[in-house]
Amino acid sequence: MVKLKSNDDKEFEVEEAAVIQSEMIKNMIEDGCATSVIPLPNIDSKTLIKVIEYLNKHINMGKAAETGEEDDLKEFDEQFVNMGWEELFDVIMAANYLNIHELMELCCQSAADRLKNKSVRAVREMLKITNDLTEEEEQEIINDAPWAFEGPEIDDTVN
Amino acid sequence: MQFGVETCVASVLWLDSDVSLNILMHLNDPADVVCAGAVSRLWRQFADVACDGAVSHLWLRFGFGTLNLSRGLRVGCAMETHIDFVQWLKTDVSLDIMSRLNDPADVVRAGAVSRLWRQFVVTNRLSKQLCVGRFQQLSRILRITEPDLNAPEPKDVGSSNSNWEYLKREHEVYASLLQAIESSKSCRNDCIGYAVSASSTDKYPDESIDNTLIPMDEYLNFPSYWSSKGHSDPNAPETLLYKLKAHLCVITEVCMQPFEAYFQPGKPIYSAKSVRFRVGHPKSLRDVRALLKMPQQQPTDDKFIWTYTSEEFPMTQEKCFQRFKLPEPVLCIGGYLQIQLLGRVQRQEMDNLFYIRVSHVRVVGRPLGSTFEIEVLEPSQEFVLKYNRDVFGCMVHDFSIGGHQGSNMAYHPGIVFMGCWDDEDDDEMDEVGILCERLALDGFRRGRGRPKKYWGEVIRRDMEQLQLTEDMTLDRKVWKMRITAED
Repeated sequence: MVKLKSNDDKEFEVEEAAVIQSEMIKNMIEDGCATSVIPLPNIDSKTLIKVIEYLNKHINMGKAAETGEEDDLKEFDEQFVNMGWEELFDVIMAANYLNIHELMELCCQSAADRLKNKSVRAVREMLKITNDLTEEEEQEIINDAPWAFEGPEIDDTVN
Repeated sequence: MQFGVETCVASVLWLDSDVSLNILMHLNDPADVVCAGAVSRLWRQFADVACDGAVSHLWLRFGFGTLNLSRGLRVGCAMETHIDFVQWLKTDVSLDIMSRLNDPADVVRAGAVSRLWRQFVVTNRLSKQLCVGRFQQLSRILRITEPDLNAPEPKDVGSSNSNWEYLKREHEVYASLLQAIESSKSCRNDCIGYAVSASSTDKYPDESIDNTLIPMDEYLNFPSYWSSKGHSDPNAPETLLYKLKAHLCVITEVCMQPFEAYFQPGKPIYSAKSVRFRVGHPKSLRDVRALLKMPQQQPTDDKFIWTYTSEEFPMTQEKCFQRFKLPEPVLCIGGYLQIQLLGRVQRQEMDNLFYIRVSHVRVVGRPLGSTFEIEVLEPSQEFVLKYNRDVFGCMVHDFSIGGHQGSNMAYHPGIVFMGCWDDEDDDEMDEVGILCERLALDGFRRGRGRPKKYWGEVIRRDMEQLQLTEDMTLDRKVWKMRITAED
């Protein structure tokens, strides 16, 4: 068991087999620096719980393929990334810090997928971005590549 | 605070937030912090935090080293949520997300969200990365030129501005190029411009490679096909070389029909064991001119650089149009396609030698010639991409209309010939049409016997007489000028 401590001073116990999916912690363990509690000053407890949930589910990635639990895992992943933008970015940052490649992959892909086919207006609204381009600048961008701004596949809804 | 413009941008926007913060941490005078706030929007946000007194908190946090901007700010001043990830996540993480946008339209739209997003998309060259990631050959594009565009006026003196202008145009051109390629996947136009040469020809010109472009099994009562020379070794390969209609083509499929010698006993079909396709460009311009003067029955392999080689497709010994669909659309830069015929299956009874004979060849895809042109630089073999902005608009407009053109080719040589120009405007169609009629009539007037005139040769001769180079014929303006001058 390895103990992790979030930046709001909560401690979590995680199986070593799960936690070594994090390259960072794996290196720490290998270097013998993980004897007591590992402090994670960048990660709050809410995010850490999510990350640990992911790590525990993916503990036996190799085995899943053999026992036909791949679909199960896929379904879990789909459910897992079903969260708000802010939470998603928190997890991305944690995954980046802890260096958990698959989790990073999963969350970044989800973020990108949410942007695909969205109209410019929808992206602004989703991410609460204020448009600070002047009207002329915006028109210039549209004039340079009008094909990117028209078409039935462009989604103007905000989900 | 004596940062140059570029340094400012680089330190706050484009360095890892950790590093930017390390720099900013060294501002220990409140006045400097206020100055920094006047630099730009992003900097101001930072300074605002400092004025709120949160800066001490930040400083404390950064003392631990790895904290990044976003978390620091959020914790530090309890501001409302920040989910504009381009602004708040580390650059490499934002890049990880943004480079997963795989549709050029998505990338272009991302570049229109806000000033920061525009800067992010353009300076990180997302559309180029996407383009080159999809088509490796495009990494050899050295620079982009736009003949229609006057050089951007230097509004501000300084290289950073012109660099930004260049990156902006590059962003647009690569996105347009990829869009053109992607939307060409469903196009089924015939891409062959003319036949260049065959590695061997048994009876030239009766069995010339030109015959493979005649879509009928017989032409004026004679069987129409190309034939290799006979060989005792069934593994002896042959190649056919075609010039495509444009320097830049997207190819999705090659169709070939082996020739059935219906006049020989047993109607043998002289197919190859398998075929393979290569696309590429000539090593030098000199070679292009040499190619046009060379007899069609000579091999030309050493004069080319091949940028793509397909897998091997087995060919069946059947008299039908065999379709060889490429697993992914292939981008041909330079405009030459070679068909490698690997191995022979049919021996000819008369001389007991193996032959390969092909009736028809079609290359299916879309020439991008009118919008994008490629110039090969020597000796580096890098490319200059020319982008005709005005034509692109029309081209996009035509996508839906042109999409299924040519899927049912009419069996008339004139029409097929006209098909060669289906990307051009009506004016030119007429000119070519007239040319076709004349050619066809020429053929008929000869009366009985195999016509000794083939349209490929006629074009070659015309080009020589009018002193046209191949590049000129592809350039509408020059071509038209020459042709009208002739009248």
